[in-house]
Amino acid sequence: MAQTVDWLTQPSGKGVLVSGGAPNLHLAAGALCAFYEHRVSFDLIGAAGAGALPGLLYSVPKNRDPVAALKSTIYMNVHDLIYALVPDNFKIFFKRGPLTEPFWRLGRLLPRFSLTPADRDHSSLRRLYNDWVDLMVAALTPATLWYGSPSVCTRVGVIDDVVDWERLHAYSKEFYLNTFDLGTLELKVFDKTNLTPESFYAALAMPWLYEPTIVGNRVYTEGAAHDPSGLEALWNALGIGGQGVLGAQPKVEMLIALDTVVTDVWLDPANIQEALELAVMDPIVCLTEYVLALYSRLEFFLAQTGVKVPKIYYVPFPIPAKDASRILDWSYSNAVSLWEIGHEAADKFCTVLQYGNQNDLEAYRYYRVRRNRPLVGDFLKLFDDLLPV
Amino acid sequence: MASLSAEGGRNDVEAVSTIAAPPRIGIVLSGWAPAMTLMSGVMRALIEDNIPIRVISTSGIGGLIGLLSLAPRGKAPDQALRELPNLFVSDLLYRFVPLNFKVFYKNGPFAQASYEFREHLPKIPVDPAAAKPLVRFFNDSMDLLATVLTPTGLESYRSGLMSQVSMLEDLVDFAQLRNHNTRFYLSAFDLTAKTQRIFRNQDVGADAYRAAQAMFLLFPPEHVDGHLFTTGATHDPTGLQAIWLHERNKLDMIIALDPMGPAIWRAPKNIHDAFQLMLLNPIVALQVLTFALYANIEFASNQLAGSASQTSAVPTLPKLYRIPFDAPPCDIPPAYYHEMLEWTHDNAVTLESIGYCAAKTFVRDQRLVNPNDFEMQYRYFHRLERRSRQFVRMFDQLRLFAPAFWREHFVRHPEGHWRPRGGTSHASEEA
Repeated sequence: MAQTVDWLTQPSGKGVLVSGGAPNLHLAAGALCAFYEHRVSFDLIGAAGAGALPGLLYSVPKNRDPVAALKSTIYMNVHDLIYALVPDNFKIFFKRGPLTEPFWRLGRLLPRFSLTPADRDHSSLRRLYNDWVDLMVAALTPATLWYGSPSVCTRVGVIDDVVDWERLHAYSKEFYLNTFDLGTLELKVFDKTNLTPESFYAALAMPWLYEPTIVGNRVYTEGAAHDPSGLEALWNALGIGGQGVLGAQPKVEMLIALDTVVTDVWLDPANIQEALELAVMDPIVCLTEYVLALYSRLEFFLAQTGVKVPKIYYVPFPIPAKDASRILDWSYSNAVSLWEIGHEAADKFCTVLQYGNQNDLEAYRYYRVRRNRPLVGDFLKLFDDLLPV
Repeated sequence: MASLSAEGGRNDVEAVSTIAAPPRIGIVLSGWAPAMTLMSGVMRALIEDNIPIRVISTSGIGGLIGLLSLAPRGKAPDQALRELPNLFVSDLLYRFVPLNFKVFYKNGPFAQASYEFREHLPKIPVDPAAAKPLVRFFNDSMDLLATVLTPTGLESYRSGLMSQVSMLEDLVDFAQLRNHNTRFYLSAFDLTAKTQRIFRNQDVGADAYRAAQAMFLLFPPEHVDGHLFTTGATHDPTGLQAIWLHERNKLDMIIALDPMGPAIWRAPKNIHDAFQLMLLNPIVALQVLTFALYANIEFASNQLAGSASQTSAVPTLPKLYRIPFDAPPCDIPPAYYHEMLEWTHDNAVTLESIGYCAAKTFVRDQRLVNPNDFEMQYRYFHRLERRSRQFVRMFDQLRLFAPAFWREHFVRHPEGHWRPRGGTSHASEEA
């Protein structure tokens, strides 16, 4: 236990960016699980949108077991048999209506099978039963959606079952999550001192799905549309601004950006639901790429001059063709596939990080990996006048 | 600065040294489809004032406005642009059916037939700017009836809600575009090559236009030259990428329209509005931040070029200016933001008049106002809104936009690489 406390609480010099986007949930959960298994901790976690959940499970899971919590995210997806008939995640997205929360609470009283991470390969019938119960509860829940409604979904307390909010305030490292203030029209960053279920929901309040959320006396909507990378969320904590760039003594030496995936597998959508998800994710993922690419180019240049800013590295999630066509599905099998891809990718990265040499690590340097992608390369040409190639 | 409308015959590659010569102007057009008449109003004003525009770079619905400004079929550009409000729906009818069934056609094999059928329906001629509520109600009811009668082909496996029809071929003369002196750019995202493709005068046709409009969910991706495309507006919602890739040193000024972020970053008024906000929220964020980055970069590079010696001339980006929609009397008041996504005729006319007024004021001020005041009022760099300032702060702290900093502390070698002065790092110098 003492050892665990040591590696978790001691400064590591590393920060991680966990970006938004639904498919990233399981990829990031698998990746962060690998980091934890390798005893890699992060002094700073910058999260956006759906990336907040795996970030919190890595930091302060309710069961106090990050590995188990991160492995269990796959159970948030729907049994494949049910998903084939009802292609919707009724376990995460709840109908709009005043009775949604009471029905959800009543549904929790119904008997279900308890599942552990060890059950992932041997629990099909139990999951089928559990998900069928959830589907029935969802079907019976009355909805009040009409033209004048501001959103299609209602929040329920799902997150409170898995995140230990009390423990977050005493977390030894830093956690940042962005949201967007509809009054000031600026990003607002919540940290471990003021992150609550309400501010968490505010940060994920994507228009149409959820209505803007009030925290304190402010009205917020999701932050991932404005800072999907999470870089701005932790920017102030990096400590670059205070001394000026030449005298910067950043809090971390390394930023690790998890792959945002969709740019590599942009698809011809197979159905209308996939088209909807792509419509939303397309510009979000693009903005992530642009911002991280620009930062990577700057830090790559500054590193050559000896100026100290955190180097940024990229953990790629190689999606095989067989999985690419269903990457946006909420099916259980897809969750397992994505989780394993994320886990394996981060496992390899951690091995290099801990046992490889500098050249091996350089192969993960964001600028080296991404600059030759045509989309990124064309964007970076904007800065050709001021920065060397 | 010379007047925008002064006549001049300079070649594109000439240096910007003759003070009296008119600036070489380009304009970027991109925006939300329901607010397209803001753009058409601006273009009408610029055409009316004989502003010579050398480049029109577009993405998304900006492509339509650009094409109508350059190569309308059988009409003058001003007339083609003036007719746009007739694509919007009668206010009376819109209360019951809040959709634009005149522009968007249900996905299915009968969409084109439906479009052709509607073109033969009897309609009462109506001036595009006239309210004429009863006439519009009658005309649009005919279109609505045709829409209702069109069988839908929307099955769960289809990848778009709507089908594209040949409306554009009836509006645009692509042969005229190919021979036009103004350089035209239209961006689309190549799903096959996974990169942005920028179509030019010579290769823009109806297929390229449809590709550039094929936003996920609304339309299925489109094939062009064997590649699959979706809209370019989700990757460059500004139209600026063509400028920095193809127009360095060829233009002096780029005009952009106010991206109107606050009109999208707000609480929804109903579920239809919320749906549009969901789609537009990240696109407008990307648009605003791209404008902000470009504005800072061009300002920095132009400063650097302005202070550089002849032998170390720095290639420059065109200066970015904004036609604002927040300056009375040509402003859109915040109370109106909720209306801007409505496809009503009244909204179309309102926005067109604001765009027209704002562009007229822009041209007038450029002629009459003190150049420094004009710069402070219209140069994009000087008018960044809060979110943009917040965003660029990151890169400002890394001194990306500080040319003096680079020159003071670094040496740019002839091959283009920068090195610390004296060949040592600053870390070691400071130590």
